Amino acid sequence: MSKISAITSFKQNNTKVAETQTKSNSAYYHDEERAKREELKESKILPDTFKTKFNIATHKVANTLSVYPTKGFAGDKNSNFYEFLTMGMFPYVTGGLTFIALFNGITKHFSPKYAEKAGKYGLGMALGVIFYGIAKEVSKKLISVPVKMKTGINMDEPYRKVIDLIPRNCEEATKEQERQEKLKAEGKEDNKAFEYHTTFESVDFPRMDLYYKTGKGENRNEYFDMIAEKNGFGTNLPDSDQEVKPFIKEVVTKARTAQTLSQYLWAAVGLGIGVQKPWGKLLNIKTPKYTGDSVFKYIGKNIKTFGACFKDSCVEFFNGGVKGAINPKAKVAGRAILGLAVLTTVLGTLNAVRNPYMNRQKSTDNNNVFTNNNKVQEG
Amino acid sequence: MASLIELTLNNRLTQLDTTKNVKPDKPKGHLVDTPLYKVPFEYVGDLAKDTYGVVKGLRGKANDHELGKQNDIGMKLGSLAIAAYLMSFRPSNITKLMEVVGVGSFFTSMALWPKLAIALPLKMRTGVDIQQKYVDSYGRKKYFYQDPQYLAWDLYSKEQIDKMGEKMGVPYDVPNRDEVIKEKARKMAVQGNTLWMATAGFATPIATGLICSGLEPIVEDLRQKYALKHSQRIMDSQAWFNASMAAPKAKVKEFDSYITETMGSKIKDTKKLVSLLNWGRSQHISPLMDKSIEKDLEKLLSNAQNNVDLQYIEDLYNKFSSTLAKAGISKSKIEEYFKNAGLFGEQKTFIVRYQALKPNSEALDLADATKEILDELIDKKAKKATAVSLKSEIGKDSIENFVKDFNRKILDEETADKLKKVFNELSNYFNREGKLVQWENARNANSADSMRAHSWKKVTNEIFSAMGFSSKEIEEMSLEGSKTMKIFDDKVQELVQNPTRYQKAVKRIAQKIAEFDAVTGSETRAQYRDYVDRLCDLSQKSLKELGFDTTSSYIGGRPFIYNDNGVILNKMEALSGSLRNLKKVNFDEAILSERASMYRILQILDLNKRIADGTLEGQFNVISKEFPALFNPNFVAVEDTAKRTISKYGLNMHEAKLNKGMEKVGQNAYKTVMRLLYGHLPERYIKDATLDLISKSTSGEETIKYANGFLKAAQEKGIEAGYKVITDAGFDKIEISRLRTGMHPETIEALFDAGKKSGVDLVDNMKVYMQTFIENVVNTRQDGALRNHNLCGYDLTGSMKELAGSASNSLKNALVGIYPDKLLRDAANEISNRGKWLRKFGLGGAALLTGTVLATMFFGHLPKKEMYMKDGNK
Repeated sequence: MSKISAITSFKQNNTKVAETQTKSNSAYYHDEERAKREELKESKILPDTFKTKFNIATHKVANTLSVYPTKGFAGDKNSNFYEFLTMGMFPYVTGGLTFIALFNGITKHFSPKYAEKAGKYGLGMALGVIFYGIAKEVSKKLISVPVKMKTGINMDEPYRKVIDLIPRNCEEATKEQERQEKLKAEGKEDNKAFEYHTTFESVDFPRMDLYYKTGKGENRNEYFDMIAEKNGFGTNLPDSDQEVKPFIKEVVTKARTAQTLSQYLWAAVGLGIGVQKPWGKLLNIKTPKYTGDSVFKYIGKNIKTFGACFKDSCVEFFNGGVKGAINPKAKVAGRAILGLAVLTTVLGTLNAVRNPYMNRQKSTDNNNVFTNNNKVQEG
Repeated sequence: MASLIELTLNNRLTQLDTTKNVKPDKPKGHLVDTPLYKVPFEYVGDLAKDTYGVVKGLRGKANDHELGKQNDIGMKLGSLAIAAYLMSFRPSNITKLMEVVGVGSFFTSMALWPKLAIALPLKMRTGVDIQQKYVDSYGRKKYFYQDPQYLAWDLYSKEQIDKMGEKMGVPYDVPNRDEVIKEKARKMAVQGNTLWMATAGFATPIATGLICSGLEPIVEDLRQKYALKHSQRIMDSQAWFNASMAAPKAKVKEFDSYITETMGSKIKDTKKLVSLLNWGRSQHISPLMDKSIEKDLEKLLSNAQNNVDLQYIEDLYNKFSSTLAKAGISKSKIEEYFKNAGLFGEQKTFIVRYQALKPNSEALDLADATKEILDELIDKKAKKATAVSLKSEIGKDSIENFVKDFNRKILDEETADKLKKVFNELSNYFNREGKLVQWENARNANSADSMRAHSWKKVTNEIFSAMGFSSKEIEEMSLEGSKTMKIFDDKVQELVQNPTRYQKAVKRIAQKIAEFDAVTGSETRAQYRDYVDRLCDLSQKSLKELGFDTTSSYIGGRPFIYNDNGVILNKMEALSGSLRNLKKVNFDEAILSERASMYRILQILDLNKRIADGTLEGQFNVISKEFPALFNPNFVAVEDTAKRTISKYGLNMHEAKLNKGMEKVGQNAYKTVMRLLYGHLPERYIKDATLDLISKSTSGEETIKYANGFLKAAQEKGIEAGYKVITDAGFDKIEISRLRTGMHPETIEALFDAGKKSGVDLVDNMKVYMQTFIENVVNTRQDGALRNHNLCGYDLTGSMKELAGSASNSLKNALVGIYPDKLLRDAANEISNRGKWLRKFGLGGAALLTGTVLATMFFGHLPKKEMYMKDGNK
């Protein structure tokens, strides 16, 4: 099979899978009994679509605000590390909001002169915090997208993990077992919980197993063949999975490192843009009552203002101010941070996608040949 | 090469006994128990490990633990980037520093919140440390309770678990007691971690804010001390004094490339060159420095006088005559003029004539000369008629350009060399000045970083706390300008009724003022004058050697001449166009202005005290004897107006309202009142009273001795010298000071007390200030300094121009200081804004902390039924 055809066929298959998965997935969310039973049984890769991500986010947010803290405060046995980490989004959001409140919370109590000054400063810091968060999250894509394009490895491939819940104690366990037996007969067992992870979230234990095709007549190594072919390991390899697994792990590790380092620098850039002066114009926005505009016109106009502010702020961040009032230190600092962010992103991505295995594989192969000339001695 | 491990493994598997050697290593995990003093080392060690994790990550070899830890590194890196960026925005060093403190506080609060608010109360109550860390067999440091489903209990000894159980109060008759203890600990950890996640988002920012606002004064104090010491060290080391400190590379490059570009051609417009030479320009003095350099450049770049060549004059003549002929002026007249002027004859004649016209000019300025020729040739009427045609024919610009062009020298190696030397010399000056400015900024500059600003804050804060304003009062003062003085005055009235409180308040405020006075005393000022002299002497000399006379004398100027009392005798003369003198005067006046603002608060307090117990009235009576003009039926009105004005406006001499009040009673009365307010009692009265004082406190013979001593010194050297004689003799200091200053004895006592610690005689300082005020403000202008004053302008050529109309000179402005209402309102604003913020978030933080600690009380609870369950909690 030629390289292109292998990739194309994988893509086609994958699209089919994605379609069916989307179908079943949506079915799950709409509580279709049959689909639910199927889906419940095992962990499964979900199609990497906006819809899935939206659903996962909803699941996480809803649980963070309800189930997880309830379990956590009760000290539940099933409250695990995943739930703790998921709840980690809560301090992120509340922390951002508290920071905004710190800078803006009491401005209105100040005398007008100070209130105006504090208001502008507060707005800058508030936008800074918001842009910090946005830039931090979005910038990860700057690495994961090119990595996927070059190597075919999707770092953000979501999968649903099915967790069997532990009974609270031995006494309960027996009762619980009986109850579940009954429920199972009806196909309604409720001793499962879902966690949403990405397949390469752990580099020590990546869920490569989820990529095997186990259906009848399916190419078991289809995914690994695709990766092998795309990254120059060759085609029709007898054990493509064994060949590419270390490679995948390495790519993911490198890319993750690059993401971690660059995301905070991008966040700093985001904050830098948020604290620029042009945003002050937003403070002058009047209420629709005052302007007499229709709602749509009003929204449209203000989106335009926001856009203009954003553009001006980006320019000012880059130039260290407007012409004639350049702050040379801010210019140097701003450009340095931006440069560093771009550099870590670009170099990090290049470092991640290069394939050192090709050369290494050959040299190790040679060394592993036991010949009379090359006898391995102990120690 | 295959790695050693691979080889060993290979050998073990293929050649040797496979079962014997392949077995798990012994576990090496242990709990982490770092004593407090080791925490910083541990932190550094962990940081190094985490950084190594990043390197491993970039090689694709990191494990999950290391990848997770990278987040900490990234976050710190990003936060430092943010601090660095925000620092570039902040105007002063302290605000810059606070950005770093902010980042530090953020990470500290993030780390400390779960430890102090959650883990510590739990540990104290139950012995379980839910923030306990352990190192696993692979050397990875983790939280013990991080994953409650995989707890490495084997790291705890039986004793440790028993100890926990005892503290938790788990009964001994519980079956599977260890399991129950572990379960309780696990439960606590899950609950504690959940509480951590629920509260951290609110607690971290609030704690960061509170830590920062608590640390700010401390950091500022430390920074201040460092800045003072550091800048002094630079000055002491004299490194700044040594020559050849190069300009920044970019400036040198710019200058060099300009010289290379213009080499071999004429530099017609010197503006660019001026700006290149004057690269270290400060906004304040730039125009004057520019002008000086420009003037010197004109000289350097023009052909020397004796090089005026005949061909040029002929050209000039031809051009003029043909054009002027066209304008209707007869050729003979022009020729006659040019002959007289010597243009056709000896060049010298021309120059002599020109110099006769302008006796002070050193250089031959042909542009001016041509203009004068034109003026003389064409009488006014003719000029008017011919102006239009003349302009269209040759144009004024073209004449000037023609002359200028001719006048310029082609830039040759020698001149370029000289320019380079000037550039270097000026660079030296700017660099040295930079060091001095650093010293000056640490002490006395209009920036938040200076000690002056720092003590300003201290004094203003002290005013509010010493006088006992409530936060509500401060808020009202900050919100409404009209209320500021009213509330202040009410408080003053309340204070003056109570001697103890009054003295305490005055003492507290004065203590802070004395601290400022101590560091800006005559020593500091003398030191500054010395530095300025050294700085200016060096450059004055070397620039003069290079022929940059104007710039040299602008920097150097004429030295001030001081009298015994430190008063400048030749101020007007010496100030003319001298950077040296300007610097000195600015430095002194800045200190004076700050002192004046502070002293005025003390004066208001003192004055109200005097009004309250009738002292002022007594003083009025004395004064009125000295000023017969006040012996009229209107006197009561004068006194009344004065009192009312004082209590209403608190010595706001700038206020038009006050002036209006004073207009009613006349200028003499106004001056009298001002003298009284500023403790300037008539000399005769003071003498009488002093003699009276002497006679009261000693025996007859001694009285005569001291009185004679006093009178002799007073007659010879002034009354202050007289006082010195009797204070030295040990007379009641307070009484004498009362006579000298007119202030209330209680005020004087408090001021003496306050100055002790800093070694400052505040009474004396205030006396000097009052006297200067009377001399320079009251006695010279009726209306005092005005709100919209202008600083007096200095120009190159000489005289100090006092601007007309509403302007007042800088000394007056300094003497008046900041008006009390503005001072109080600004300070009230700052205090109340900070207070509001602290109250709101401090309360929020306290509530959160209390709630969190209380919540931990309910953690780890296990129902009895579960505890006594036979199979335990397996």
